[in-house]
Parts: sequence; C-alpha cells; structure tokens
Amino acid sequence: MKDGDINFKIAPHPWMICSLPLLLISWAYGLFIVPTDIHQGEVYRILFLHVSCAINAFAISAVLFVCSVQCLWKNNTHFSYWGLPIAETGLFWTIFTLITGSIWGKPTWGVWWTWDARLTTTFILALMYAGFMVLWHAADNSSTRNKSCAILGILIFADVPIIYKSVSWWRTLHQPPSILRTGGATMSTPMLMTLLAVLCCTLLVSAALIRYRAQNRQLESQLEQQMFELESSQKGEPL
Amino acid sequence: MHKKTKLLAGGIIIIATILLMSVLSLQQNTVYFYTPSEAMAQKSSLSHKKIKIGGIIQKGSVDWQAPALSLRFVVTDTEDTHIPIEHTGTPPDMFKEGQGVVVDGRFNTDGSTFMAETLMVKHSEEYQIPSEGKSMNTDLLKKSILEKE
Amino acid sequence: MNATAYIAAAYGTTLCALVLFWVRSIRQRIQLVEMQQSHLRTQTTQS
Repeated sequence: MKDGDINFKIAPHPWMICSLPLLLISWAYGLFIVPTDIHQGEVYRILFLHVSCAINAFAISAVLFVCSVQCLWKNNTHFSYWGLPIAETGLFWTIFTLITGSIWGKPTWGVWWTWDARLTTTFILALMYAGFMVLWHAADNSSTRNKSCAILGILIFADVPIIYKSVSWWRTLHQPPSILRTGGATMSTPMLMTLLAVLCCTLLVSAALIRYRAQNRQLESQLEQQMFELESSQKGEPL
Repeated sequence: MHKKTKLLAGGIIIIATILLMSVLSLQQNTVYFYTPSEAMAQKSSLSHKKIKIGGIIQKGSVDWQAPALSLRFVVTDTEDTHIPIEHTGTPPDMFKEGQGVVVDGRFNTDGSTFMAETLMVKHSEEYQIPSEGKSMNTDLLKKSILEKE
Repeated sequence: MNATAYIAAAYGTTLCALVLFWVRSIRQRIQLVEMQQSHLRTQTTQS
C-alpha cells in the first residue's frame, strides 16, 4: 500500500450512524405528537415526509451545481468521486417526492397524479437526475464524462427555481408555498418546527449517504490504480 | 478562444434555451384550468373540447345523492360567474362547500351544465392546528386558485 | 382506505427504500474492502 492510499473502514462514520435513528425520532414526533390539521385531519402528516424529500432533492441539486462548476472551472478531480453519488441520492429523493406526493394526493385532491406545472417540472427533475446517471455510465473516458455530466449538473440545478416558482407562474392543482411566501407562513408554529426538524434529519441522512458512497467511488478508483500497477510490474515494465 | 470559455458559453446557451423553451411551452400549451368566467366567455370555442375548470364550490349548491353516486354543485369565482357541474362518483373527503375544486370534462350539448369526468379538490396552502380555532381562510383560497403573480 | 393507511404507505415505502439504499452502499463497501485486502495479499506473496 502506498502512502497516498486511504484505508476506509466498513462501518460508516459515527454521526452517520446517528442520522437514521434521529430521522426516525423526528418522524415519530410528526406522526404521533404534533396536533392534526383542521382542514385535512390526520393525512396531512405526509407533509413532513413529502416536503423534506422535495427540499432534499432541491438542496442536492445545489450541491451538484457547486461541484459541476468546480469541475468545469478548475478541472477539479473531486467530481469523479462525488458526481455520481450526489446524482443518485438526488434521484432517490425526487422519486420519493413523487411517490409520497402521489400517496398524499389521492385522499386530499382525489387523484394520484395530474399533469400540472408543479408535478410535471418535478417529474422532469427525476428524468434529469436519471439522465445524469445514464450519461455517467455511458461515457468511456473519465474526462469527457466529467465535463458532460457537469454541464448536465448545471442544467439540473436550473430546473429547481422553475419547480419552486411553478405554482406562482402557472395555474396548478398543487397549492402555493406555505412557508417562504410574502405575508408570512400559513402553517402553525408546532407544524413548522416539526417540519424543520424532519428536514434537518433528512438532510443529515442524505449527507451521510453521499459521503459514504463517494468514499466507495474513491476506494474503487484506488483499487483500479493498484491493479494497473500490479499488471505493469508483472510485465516487467517500468511504472 | 480558450477551451474552458467555449465550454462555459455553450453551457450558458443551453441553460438559457431550455429555460426559455420550458417557460414558453408551458405558458402557451398548458392552461391547466380555466376560471368559470374564462370558460363562459369562450364557451362556443371550448364547447366540444375536454377542458378543466377551477373555482370555488358555491355555498348551498351541493346536492349529493349517495345511492346513485350522483353529485351536483355550482362552481363560481370572484366575478360572480356560476357554472352547474354534474359528476358521477364519490367526492374526496376534502370536498365541501366553499372549498376549491378543479373539474375535468366537457359542457353538455346545450351548454347549460358541465359534465365532469374527474373531480379534484384544490385546497389552499394553509395548515392550522385545531386549538387556534380558526375556520378556513377563504380569501387565501380564492387568491391561491384565481390569482397569479 | 383511511388516512392511517395512506400515512403508513408513504412513510413505510420511504423507510424501506432508505434502509435498502444504505444496505446496498455498505455491501458495496464490504466488497471493495475485500478486493483491496486480497490484492494486498497477492502483492506480499509476490515480493
């Protein structure tokens, strides 16, 4: 083993292990302790999950944007390790935004799905994240792969403000924002605080997942390098 | 020109194009729903098309015949336009007088009633705990359905 | 279906998928670490 090589442990970092129980505690608070909503009753509790998933998908696109810009601007090699895990986790939360939204839509709106502007633009976000993953695996050269994926990473981020403003720009079935709006939040404080707690815990889980998977990528490329060096030495060629 | 600059310029152009295209296409083609006033004004051109109408369920207009699954009500907006709606099927739990609604269907042959195939409740962005004892903020609901920035 | 069923479906699927995602990531790590160790062993036997 060379000096520059990193020896990763199998167990995730302690605070990463903590993130999942913390998330479960915040879920339990949202499910059993916070009072019901006067309009929707119990079913509104999906809000905590749905909104957290959505904000995670958006936040991850911002991280992807920063990484992509760094990759294009400074030829940063971090993108080789971080790019794919970020997109994978982003896709995960986007898919669960759509799934939980659909499950919430049936009892409140009366339909599982409708092609309104908010739902359509979120669907496009999922497609773009999936496209990123396809492009990543399709490229045969890591330099062109990084560049083309970084451009797509910037485009993915460009979709997020459209999703956010879709409910204000167009008529939709989806309701406008409850929190970040002119005239103050239209959500009771206990609900808002619970939502923030669930959101923070979800962000923690996301960060842990991305970091762990990025380390896997790093380990993988390290292994490839070692294999390559072994092969070269077996052939008796100078390194 | 430097390679990086070219790449950046290309990226910006692609972003701008996609943003512009999506904004334009959504504005032109996807009028998600018409308000009752718009639907009445364009009734002759819309009469044979499958459209969506979104508005407020008028107070005192709901007639629900559970055994026949027949639902009749009137949808209205801020401009005092009233459209009678007919729908077959159980409405969602949140369907009630004064609530927002989006109906998908078409006008009947004489244009007097809108036959809704799909009925969707459009609620406002308000979430309140019961102890605060407030009733539904109707102004907020109207704004959320009928007014855009 | 009542509200509880919808809530359980939403939270249940998300939790299952999240756990599965974690398990897959850890299994990937185990595999990589094992490969690295076996590679180190071949290196030591050669020298």
